[in-house]
Amino acid sequence: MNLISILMLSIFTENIVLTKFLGMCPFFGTSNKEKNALSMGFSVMIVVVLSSLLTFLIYKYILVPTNTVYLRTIIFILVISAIVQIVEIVLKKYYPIVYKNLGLYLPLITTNCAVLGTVLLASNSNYNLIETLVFSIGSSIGFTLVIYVFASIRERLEHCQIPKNFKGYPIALITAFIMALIFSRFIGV
Amino acid sequence: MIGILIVTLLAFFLSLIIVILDSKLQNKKEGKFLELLPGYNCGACGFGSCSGMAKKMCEDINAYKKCKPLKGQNLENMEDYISKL
Repeated sequence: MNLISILMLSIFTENIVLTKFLGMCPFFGTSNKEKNALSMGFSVMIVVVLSSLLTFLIYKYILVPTNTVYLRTIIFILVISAIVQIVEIVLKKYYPIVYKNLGLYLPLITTNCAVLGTVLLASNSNYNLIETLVFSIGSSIGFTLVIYVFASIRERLEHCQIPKNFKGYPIALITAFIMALIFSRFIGV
Repeated sequence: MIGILIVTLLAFFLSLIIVILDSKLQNKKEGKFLELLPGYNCGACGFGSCSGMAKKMCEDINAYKKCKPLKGQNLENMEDYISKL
């Protein structure tokens, strides 16, 4: 029951993009097409799950016993960037088609604050290993869901008649605002 | 003090993993091609640089004929290596 509530919490109630406002850069940058949004979401999912597992182990078995919790942020950044590199190398060798499709988005994840945010939030909340795993899967699903819905809305908006001055990013910002309003209603459900 | 040690060791191990993975999974043929190319990175072949040419050669072995500065002994070495493949 607790795990299900963590999953629902991380997907909807505390959605990483629309209630915590992390990862705004890929949210606007890669949401112009549905396919781009899905690629970005998929690669974020891989990296978030792997890095939250590794950082959990490092935090629990290295940082806490040696009393160096203040190093948390820099070590998490280190781990995330290393994992992005490793995922890139492995994908390039074994799944060249996936690598070609993701292409530019993989290195971009290193600077995606949604990844660092998820990892830091998980270690702040004192989750155990399985809860951390569920939380990271949930928040990456939340990220993918929101970015995909946002991209499909933006694709539809391109064919709509909207005032000339609102075309492009202004209407995207307004869309994001309305989506954030909707997601804020999940609090307390 | 212990903080410095932890960051250094962790960074060292992570970089070690990346280097080992990279050297294990790297295309060996591509590295050899790059070694045999002249290394001017002139871009006359149309692939941007010598590493671009080496990548292209993995798909199409005859691409080395487009390399303008590859002459004389170097060309013989390259043809020698290709004939052994």
